Amino acid sequence: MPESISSARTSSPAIAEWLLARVTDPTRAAAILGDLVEISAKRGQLWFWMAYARTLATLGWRTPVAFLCAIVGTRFIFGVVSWLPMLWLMHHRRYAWIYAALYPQNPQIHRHFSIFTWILCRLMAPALFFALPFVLIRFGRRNRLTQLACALLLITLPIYILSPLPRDLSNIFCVLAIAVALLLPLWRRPMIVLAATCIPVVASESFFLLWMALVFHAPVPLLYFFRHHAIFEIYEMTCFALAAIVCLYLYRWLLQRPPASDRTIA
Amino acid sequence: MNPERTLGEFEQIVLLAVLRLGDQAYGVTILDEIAAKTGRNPAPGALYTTLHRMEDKGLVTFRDGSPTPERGGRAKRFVVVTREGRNALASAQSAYQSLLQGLDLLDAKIFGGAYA
Repeated sequence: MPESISSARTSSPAIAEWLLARVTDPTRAAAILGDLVEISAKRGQLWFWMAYARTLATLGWRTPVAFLCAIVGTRFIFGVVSWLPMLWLMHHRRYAWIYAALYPQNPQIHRHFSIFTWILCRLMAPALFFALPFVLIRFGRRNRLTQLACALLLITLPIYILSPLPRDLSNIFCVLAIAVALLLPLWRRPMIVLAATCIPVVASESFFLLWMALVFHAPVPLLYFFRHHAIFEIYEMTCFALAAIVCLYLYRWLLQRPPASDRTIA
Repeated sequence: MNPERTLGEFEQIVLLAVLRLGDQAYGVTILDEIAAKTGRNPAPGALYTTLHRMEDKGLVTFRDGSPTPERGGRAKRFVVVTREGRNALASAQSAYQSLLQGLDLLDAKIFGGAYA
């Protein structure tokens, strides 16, 4: 490498490029930093660092804000939304005739299928309370991933209703929606990304249930260990961070447009 | 029109600047061209956000140049408008043209103060 190139490269620290690559990708980051270095030859180092900070904020604000909103979504909105419909609809039990139409021959099928779909929805819905705000802010409302997350959340919401018919219909529609999304080529990849994003959140929720069980049934030493709230907080935040990282990497890998060479150039 | 192909005002400005610059369109020259022709000084971050969004939409594409010393040994990324980008720009501009028809807004008198 020529000396002039080497000396110019050291004028902007490698960490600046590394940090920029975290909010875009390495190729874009190198080009952006190259542009800023080129302009700063005329405008000075102060301009360089100010422009760098503004560029970093402009390109990178969505991810931390999306993560914070997803945490709020999981912690607070989930707590309210999951209980309101239940209180409103818990006594509505006037649709029994539909069960007869759905499962006329074998009520046993109804029972097994109902348990399976209920477990699926029960795990999916809280995970979507995290995933939907995250993808909505990170990728925008027109993104297929956001639209799919929104549709699935709306379908799974009646899971919190004690009235059996809306709950069971919701379970069936949820399974159907997932199956249809996996079958259609346009929606298959968003569905895979969404499912992978939900897995760490489901793990977090499962740990919460385990923790609750231990709090009430564990021997005294274990009880003191697990009832320490910080442990659950750290574990939960780690799961959420993992979900966000999985979502971002899978999105880049599966859903971002192919590189330039594949396009028609005018 | 496909809603994903609807162009914002700044997207149109960037695409027009890229088309004007031809094969010399990269971050620095695009910023200079916009400043020279519109009087605006857009922040580099706004330009890159727009370019990346248009790349994701398939409206522009990039080709890498060779590294240069004045850029700290980093390569330029030249912007090229795709056929989709050109069509989207033509569609947006024709919408503007049809709205402008009969208004005489570009008449010199309006800038001279006769109708102001």
